[in-house]
Amino acid sequence: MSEKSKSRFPLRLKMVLIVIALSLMLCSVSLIMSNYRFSATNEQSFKDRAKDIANLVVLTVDGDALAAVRDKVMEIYNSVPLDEVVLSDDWGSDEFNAYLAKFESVYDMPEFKKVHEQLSKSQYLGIPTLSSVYTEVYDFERDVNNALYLVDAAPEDDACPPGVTEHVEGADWESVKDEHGQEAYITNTEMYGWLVTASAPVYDSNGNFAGLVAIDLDMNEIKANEQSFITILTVILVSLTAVISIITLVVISIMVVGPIKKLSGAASSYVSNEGTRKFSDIRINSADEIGDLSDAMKKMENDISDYVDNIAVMTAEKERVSAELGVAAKMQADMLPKNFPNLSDLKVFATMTPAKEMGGDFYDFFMTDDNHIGLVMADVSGKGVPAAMFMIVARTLLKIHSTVPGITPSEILTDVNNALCADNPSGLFVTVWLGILNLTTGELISSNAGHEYPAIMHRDGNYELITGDNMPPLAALENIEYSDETIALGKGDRLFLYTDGVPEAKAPDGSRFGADRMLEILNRGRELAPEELLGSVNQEVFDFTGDNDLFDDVTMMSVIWNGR
Amino acid sequence: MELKRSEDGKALDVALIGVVDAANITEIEEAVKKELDGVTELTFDMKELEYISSAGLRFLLKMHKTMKSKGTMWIRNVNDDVKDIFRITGFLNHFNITA
Repeated sequence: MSEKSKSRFPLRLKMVLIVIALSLMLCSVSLIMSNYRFSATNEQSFKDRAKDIANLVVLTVDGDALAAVRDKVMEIYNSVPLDEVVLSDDWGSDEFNAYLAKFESVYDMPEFKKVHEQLSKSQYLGIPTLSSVYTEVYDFERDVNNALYLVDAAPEDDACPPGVTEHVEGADWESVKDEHGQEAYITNTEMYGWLVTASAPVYDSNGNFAGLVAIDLDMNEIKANEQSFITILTVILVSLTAVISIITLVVISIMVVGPIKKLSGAASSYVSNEGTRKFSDIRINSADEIGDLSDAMKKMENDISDYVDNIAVMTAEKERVSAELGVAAKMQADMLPKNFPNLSDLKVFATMTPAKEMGGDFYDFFMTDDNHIGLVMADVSGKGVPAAMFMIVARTLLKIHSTVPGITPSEILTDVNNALCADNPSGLFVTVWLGILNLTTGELISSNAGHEYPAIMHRDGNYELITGDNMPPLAALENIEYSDETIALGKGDRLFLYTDGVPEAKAPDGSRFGADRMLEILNRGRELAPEELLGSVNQEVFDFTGDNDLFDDVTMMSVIWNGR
Repeated sequence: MELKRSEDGKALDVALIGVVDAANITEIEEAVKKELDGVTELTFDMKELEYISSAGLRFLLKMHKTMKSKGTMWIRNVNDDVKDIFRITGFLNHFNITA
């Protein structure tokens, strides 16, 4: 569930956000930089200009006259106790007016008029932004940060009256204490707006400091220009950013997001709708990583498609081979004779239970002439198709060689062994027990080429193994002289032939069935008909191996002689 | 299985241990074949061998044939169970079995 509810955050949206964020950053930085640079340049040039004008106006002022005005103003000011001084902050109040009235006498001084006249000439300078020209002095004596206005250039009604006392803030005070006049500075007040103020010292005829000429330049217009510049710049930058963002997004969309969406769409439909070609139909020709990705996906699709085709072909092939092997195994089993002799003198029954893999066990019986029956129990070493084919050859050779009149089993084995050895590159061999029973006398002549000992039961006795030194299997060693053994069968005697699939059957715990257990079962079933006997041994072997698949073929033959 | 080769490289001792059957015969065969160059005396020690299947016998027969042209193959320390297998399969008198 959590997988599905994971909120989608598409690539395109991410791109938009990243571009907008970067553009905003770029805009802000450039705005801040240009604003800072622009206003710094403007302000410095205004400050320089103000200083120049102040230095110019100073030349028009009579130092001695200003010194006289200053002395008068300071005399009145110093006569007022500090706590009775009313600062310009209270402009227009009664206390302020009363305080200013103390300086009325200054207006009557000829020196005041002279300086006023000299200052007022500054209007001829023709500087429209020159808003005020005045003289001032600082209270250095009592050192209380106070500046006092002396003479203002404006006509009387607009002028700042002499004696107006202004409080100067701390840091500025430190700088104005220099008699040579302070650096130009910029203020922004509610009353006057943006002003740049510069001052220059006036000296009397003795070279003593008389006061400061200060001028104010109106910066409101230039500040307004600055503001509109910033506004225009902002608009331009924002529009430019928007255009660049859109172009970037369109380009990214066409070159990156679109192709990736195509690929991811193809991948989704490939997954949900396998077997059809999804990537091969996509056209992406860009020579970059996306092009590489597209090519890689196309190749992968082709490879998978080829692979799937191959698997289909291989599976079909495997099924065919497996089916053919099944048919072959069945043919191999069907080839064994099923038409068992069920005569009054002789009863024969045999079974072959093949293991999972095609094996090489076989039994056989055939008349060698009118009076003799050949009995064969054999086991080809190895498994699979080679063993099966080898079995057919061995079985055929044994049957053919048995038809020679008067031939004994050992002679047959010797002949077949040499025939098999002559051409046996696979190194397979076959163990064979071959017996020829005289149907008239019950004489059984047998020869054993490396095969399990047959079990024989004489009437009223128990099953026991016919032991002895066997000769090697057929096809193992060349030029072996096989030997015969003769047993006379009496009425009711029984013979049990088998392959090693019986005694060597393996239980899940690894233990083996064993010949003793086999003999015990045979003895228990000594009265059973051949079919029933083999059925009972087979059942015991199956029970013993449990869930284990038969590792080896289990082949058995039961013979009962009821002749003389 | 343990392989031991003499210093002069002419004798190879192979100790077969436990069960030798189709399940492990390929591994044994490859290991022995790898060491077989220049060997004139190949000896299989069966002191600890419990059981040998027909696949194992096929291998012994193959080695027996191979060594016929190069020297001798010996089988030693055969216990009664394995000796019975050799007797039934008829190899008892055809392999060089020593004490």
